[in-house]
Amino acid sequence: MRRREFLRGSAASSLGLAFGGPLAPLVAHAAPAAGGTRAWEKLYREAFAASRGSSQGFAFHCSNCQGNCAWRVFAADGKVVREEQVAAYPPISPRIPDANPRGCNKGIVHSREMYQGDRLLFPLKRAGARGAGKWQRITWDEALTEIAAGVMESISRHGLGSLMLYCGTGILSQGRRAGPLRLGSLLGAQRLYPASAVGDMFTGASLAYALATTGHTLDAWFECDTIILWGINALVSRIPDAHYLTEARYNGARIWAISPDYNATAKIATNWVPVRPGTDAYLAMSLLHVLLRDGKIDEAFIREQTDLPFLIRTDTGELLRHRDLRQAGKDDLFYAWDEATAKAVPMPGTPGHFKKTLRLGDIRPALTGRYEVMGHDGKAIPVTPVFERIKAEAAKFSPERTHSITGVHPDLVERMAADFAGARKAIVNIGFSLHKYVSGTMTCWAAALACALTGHAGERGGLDTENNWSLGGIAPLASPKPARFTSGFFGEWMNGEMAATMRRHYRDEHLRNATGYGFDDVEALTRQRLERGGSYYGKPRVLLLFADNMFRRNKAERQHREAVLKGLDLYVNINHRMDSSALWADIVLPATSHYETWDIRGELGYHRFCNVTVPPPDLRRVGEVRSEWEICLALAEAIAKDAGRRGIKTIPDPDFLAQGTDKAAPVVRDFESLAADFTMGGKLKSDAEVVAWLMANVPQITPWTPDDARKHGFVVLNQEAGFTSPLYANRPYHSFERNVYLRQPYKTLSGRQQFLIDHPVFRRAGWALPTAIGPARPTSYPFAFYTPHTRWGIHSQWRANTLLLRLQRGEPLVWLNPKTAGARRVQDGDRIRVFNDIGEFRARAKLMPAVPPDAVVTDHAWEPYMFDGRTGKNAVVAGLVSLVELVDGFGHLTFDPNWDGNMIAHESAVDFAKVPE
Amino acid sequence: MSLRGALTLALAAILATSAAADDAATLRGAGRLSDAAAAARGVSLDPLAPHWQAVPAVRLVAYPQTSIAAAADRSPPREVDVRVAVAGKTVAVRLEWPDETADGWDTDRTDAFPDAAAVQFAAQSDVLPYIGMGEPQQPVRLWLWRHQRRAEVLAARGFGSLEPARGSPPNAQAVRTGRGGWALVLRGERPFPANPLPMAVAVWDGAEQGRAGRKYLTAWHLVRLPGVKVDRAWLRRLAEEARSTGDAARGRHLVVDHGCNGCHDLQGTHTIDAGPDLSIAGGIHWPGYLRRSLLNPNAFIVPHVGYMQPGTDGRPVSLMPAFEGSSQDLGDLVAYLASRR
Amino acid sequence: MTRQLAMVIDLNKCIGCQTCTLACKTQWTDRGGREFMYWNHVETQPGKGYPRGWQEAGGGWSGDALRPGRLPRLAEDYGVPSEFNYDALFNDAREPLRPSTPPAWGPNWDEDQGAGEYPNAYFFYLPRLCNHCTRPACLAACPRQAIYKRDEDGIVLIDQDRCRGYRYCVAACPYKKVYFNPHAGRSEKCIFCYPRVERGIPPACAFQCVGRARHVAFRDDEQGAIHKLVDLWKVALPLRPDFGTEPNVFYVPPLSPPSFETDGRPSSRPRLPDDHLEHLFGPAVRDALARLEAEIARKQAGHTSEMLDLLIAYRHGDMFRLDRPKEAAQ
Repeated sequence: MRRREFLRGSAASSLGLAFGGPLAPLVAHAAPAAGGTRAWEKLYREAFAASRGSSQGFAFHCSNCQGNCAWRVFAADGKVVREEQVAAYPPISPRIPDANPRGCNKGIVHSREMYQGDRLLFPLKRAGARGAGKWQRITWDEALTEIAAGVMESISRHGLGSLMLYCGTGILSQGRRAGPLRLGSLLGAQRLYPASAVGDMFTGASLAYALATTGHTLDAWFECDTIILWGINALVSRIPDAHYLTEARYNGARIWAISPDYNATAKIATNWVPVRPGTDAYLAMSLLHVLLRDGKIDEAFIREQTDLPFLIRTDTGELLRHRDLRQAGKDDLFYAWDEATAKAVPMPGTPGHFKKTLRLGDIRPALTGRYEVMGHDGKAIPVTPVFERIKAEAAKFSPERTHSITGVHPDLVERMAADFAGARKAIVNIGFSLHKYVSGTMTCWAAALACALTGHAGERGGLDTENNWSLGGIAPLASPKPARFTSGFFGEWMNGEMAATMRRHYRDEHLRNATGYGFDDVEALTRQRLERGGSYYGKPRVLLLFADNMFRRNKAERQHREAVLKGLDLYVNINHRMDSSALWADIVLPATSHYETWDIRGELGYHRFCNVTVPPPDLRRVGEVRSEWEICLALAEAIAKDAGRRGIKTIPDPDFLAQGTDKAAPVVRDFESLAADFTMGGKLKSDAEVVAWLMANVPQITPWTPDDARKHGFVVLNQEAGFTSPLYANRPYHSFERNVYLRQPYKTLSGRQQFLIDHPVFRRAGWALPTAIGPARPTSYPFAFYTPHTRWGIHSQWRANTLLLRLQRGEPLVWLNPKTAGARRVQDGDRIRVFNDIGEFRARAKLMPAVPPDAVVTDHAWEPYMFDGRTGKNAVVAGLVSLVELVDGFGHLTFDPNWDGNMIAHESAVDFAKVPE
Repeated sequence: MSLRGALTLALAAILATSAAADDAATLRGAGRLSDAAAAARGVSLDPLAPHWQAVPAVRLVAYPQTSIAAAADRSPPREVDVRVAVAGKTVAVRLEWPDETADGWDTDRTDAFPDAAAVQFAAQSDVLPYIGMGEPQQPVRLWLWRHQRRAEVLAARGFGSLEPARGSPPNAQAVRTGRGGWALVLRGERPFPANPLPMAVAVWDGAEQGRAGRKYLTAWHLVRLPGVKVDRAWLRRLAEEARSTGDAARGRHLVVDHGCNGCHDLQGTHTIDAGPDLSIAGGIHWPGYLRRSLLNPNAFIVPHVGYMQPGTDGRPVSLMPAFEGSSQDLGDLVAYLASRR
Repeated sequence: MTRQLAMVIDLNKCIGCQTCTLACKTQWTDRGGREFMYWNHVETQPGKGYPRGWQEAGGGWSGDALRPGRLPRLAEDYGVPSEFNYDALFNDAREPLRPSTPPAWGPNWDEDQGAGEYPNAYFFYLPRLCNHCTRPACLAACPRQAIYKRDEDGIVLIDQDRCRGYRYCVAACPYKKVYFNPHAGRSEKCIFCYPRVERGIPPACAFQCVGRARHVAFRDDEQGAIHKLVDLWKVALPLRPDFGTEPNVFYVPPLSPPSFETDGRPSSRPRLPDDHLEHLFGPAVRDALARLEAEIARKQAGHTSEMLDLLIAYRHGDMFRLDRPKEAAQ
């Protein structure tokens, strides 16, 4: 072949200019590499084998996260090397996706958190002024002796109530939490109600159901036709269950995401409702407006299950009660107008009625009309069903009218109402953010009403704040004696002297216009509450603080911290890491973290699984850490010893009475036997024994034992776990089945779902029935400041985690709409100052087209120590409380776990400016 | 008579009339051989040690490799001064070459490459192996220095076959010269017994993202080691290859006549790549290699997808037909190619 | 014959939580100079992504020729993995906790930023890992033949004994999913968790995906999700098919809520612009989205949908089919 011929052939050949270009590669395929063997592949195989450790355990993360996910924990050479989801939860039904692999971006790096530089390893005592950052290492004995002396000194001089022993939301498991609860209860110490301390009370649900937390296992989402996610960024804050939403969408559900910013949840919704910050109550009222206007209501349901047919006196605005009709009549017997007999009849199922059922029998309660009944004084009383009032109130809030307030187009409201009313099954989830607006109570209450009007309850769905399980049988462990149970929000309001910042940031007139109450009302009700007692015991003088980041969390950051510290003679922080609250302590005690001791958690109702921590046998705890149970036992021993030295054996506690055989007597705080009492006479010396006790004594866990936990890392709760419905083995949990199907009365004042509260404070403020109020935000600064849940922490836990910070930008960020930022010449990454008349903080700007132009937003819970000057974002949040949440002692509005209030977090206004680097 | 037969006869005639004693001078004159210095009391690693000044330097030209380097931005060649000293079985090579910036191994960068240099050694063979990492039948050994990394001893049997070699790695010490370059001493055990010892030098400039084929490369160079027996017959054969008698100008026409330029880039225009770039063939290839390639393209095929196809027995066959011209033409072609640099 | 293990990632189920990222990180890359590497990460689109500007960094194929590509820079394009001054919490009352060097970029730098104008802002999450391509540009670019594709599962590996850290593969990969380890002097990348796969355990990113967005199966497994979603229903598409490497990771494209008219009325236009999705997933994305919407409409009307039931994935375990021959397991 001549070369020229060859060339012509070559040009046509597919082999021609293969792999041209600058790299001119040499080979097309090499399998395996030329001349190589694949022996090297053992490199990664060995790395994988090492990551499985030499011993294995199970764990969950008992922080204030409602996820509660079971993890496998692998340890080698005494250290946790990796964790991986157990991913073995059994399916409950072939129709419902299973719950695997449960566990999120935080849980998966906890092993790295355990060994991070902020981990507390040894007892520390401050070596300078509080907060000066100077520490000296002390022994456990020294620490315990000093603490015990401080406790006994305070108790003996200032009374039992001067001690606060509080376990915050950093530990919400039943095992590890039991120690502080038990010790505090034996000592009669103050403890805050954590849900209200962190602002997580669903008071709107409390008004309606006498239950703050109610709802479904989140697998119930899957079979919904309509899901309304109201102020809940579930894709960020409900990571383990978010798949039920995306899967529900594939299953045909319409998902409505209501939030001011276009967030991750809005992204997967079928519709996003961009409501202006703090105006949700208007949107809720417009939803009711459309339902009522179009008659899209389930009359049979509301006649039987709600107070809407109850008669209300049009002269006084109060519900018609037995006492109105009979001298010395009952306070808790209510009436409806019976269309069958054309007269007012007492409603069965109300507390004062002898029939403890919601069944109406022959009664046909009217929903409309005006009637007269004869009072006990012979005068006619004009009455009308509550429903009439509700209708009249909702009539004021047409979607057209609220459009300019909420920014939500009427078409969107109409579609949402139609979707909701037409749904066989619909769930309305209310996020924790809503009640951090003054209007949250109303938004939630109105949403509950929307569910009632459309009959969404039981298997048809309904309101979901969060479901919790009923774990009976714990009381002998956690509360052997009564403790000084303190309102979380009110305690912090008082201890932090927060009213000062309310007065500084809000104008009385503005507040009154926006919410119906002013400074005077707050102060008057504060006084009433103090006089009434039972929910506040004065400023503590000794604080033993477990797993609570009080000085990160509270509004008016500096004001609160200084006020609290000012009153403290001794402040001990028990923690697994140096957080923003531990920084200010007198003594810091190092506690175990989530993997280092036995624990159990089963009260969280997002799923039915009760997780158990079983530490890997190989695991060595870091430093000198001790578990909360061990610390409390050691404290009990030290306190008993110190009391003995002082000659104190017992102190009677007249605040509480214990029923003896024939008469009540003061509870006695017994110091001599404190340690023995703590361990139930020596039975409970370790966390493993505590977990075993719980598994044996909590009926909802039957028949499972610690051996089952050792095998699986979790057990399944039985049918008894539901509060208002049975927990069926093969169906998602739905609430209120006992009420809806078995007609058992609700725990409310009316015995029904309640939508009229005739307490004078409610009536005076115009809050007697669901209506629209707010926003309370002052107009003195141009931007709303709100702080949605972060994807990167469980509140401040994990917030300083190295691996997670690397997936952010390494330091606190403020989200600004690009237009808003541009108007102030702020660019992405610029350092800005956010300020108002309360204070200021600095952070970097991140420009987000998804946030509304009228707001300054930061994902919450950055540690204050991550900001310039260690001043966090709460420096610009003024203290504020909602007036109605201060009401106490009225039917189901009496302080207890289902009735308490919130510190308002999202009603402050701010401005911002660029600052030089 | 076949071409091969004629060539063999011609070579034999030439060899017969050559004086063996002149062979070294011939090679030296062609710049293809130099003498190593004997160092009685060891060789200093320090490139600035005074004794290095006493060792005569040979200046080699290192050309940018064309096989896989980015052709479009080909840099001018760089000159490397090479000095070799020997003490027993220890060989030390001192290299000095210009490089404006010192680029080190930077663990904080993923896009940075260190300055580097390598000395490639070959065993005794009639046709010195392909300059690019040897051939399957003719392995090479290399000493590699990369700034701020430990020096390595490596072995290769062709492109892409580089792997760590047994034996201890060389010691290395490098300093910046006052003239904006590197002076480097690599010292190790003599890798092959051949004398003269064939070696080639490559340098990489980190600032130019030099690595792998993106380097400057010299042709084989022979270093005569003092105190070691020289294989005179071999030396003669090597000298013959260096003694180019062809007519390069005529060869230039032949590459067109034979269509070589249809596949090979001979002008550095980078417009054709059906065969290896030969635009600097003289700079990097030993003449004997060029001759062998012309006569027997399958003796070694530069491993590139476009250069070969599967033969009937499944083994790769070069796409280039064997040269079938006269010995005169062959000589002229080799002369022309050897002039390309 | 080479079998191919492949993955489908459902972008409607990805919740952007980065659990996959961390599952991978704690499994492979939190040590030994790999700290900056994210063999798997999730980025927000539209966005510059990780490494910064990867889509404009070249690589891949132009017909039969490799396209030139550039090497990402550690500090500027990947971002230096920050360390933090935790010590300050124990000895200084003023110094804030901060990264030791201010980061300039990171794997999730433009989280949730996206584009558009409020209220028509838009974004979605795009998890990315090595595509274990059928025509791997990295493999072709390696002058050392250190990269190979395993016959038994098509996993593309970089032989860590052969790699000399030349980084031609890094430049050649159009997804910039090969990383140079400047401590080890070698390039590394996602290994599709072959040590797990060989023991019948799915890759960490897929198995640990709490959003249940990832299916893993062999492409030739007709009962597997990959065959069904990619070949049968054509609802899962490769990323940037124009790069020419024929990826074996496929994506179910993202739906989005409708955008708003200027008066706030909901429009019928999707929020995510079609042209952006087409840029990422090729022209087939329009049909894929239409098919998804049609199937969802069928579900809403009370019918069944085999395709959606597969995407729903009632059993987590059913998302993974690793029917490997026994002898391959070690």
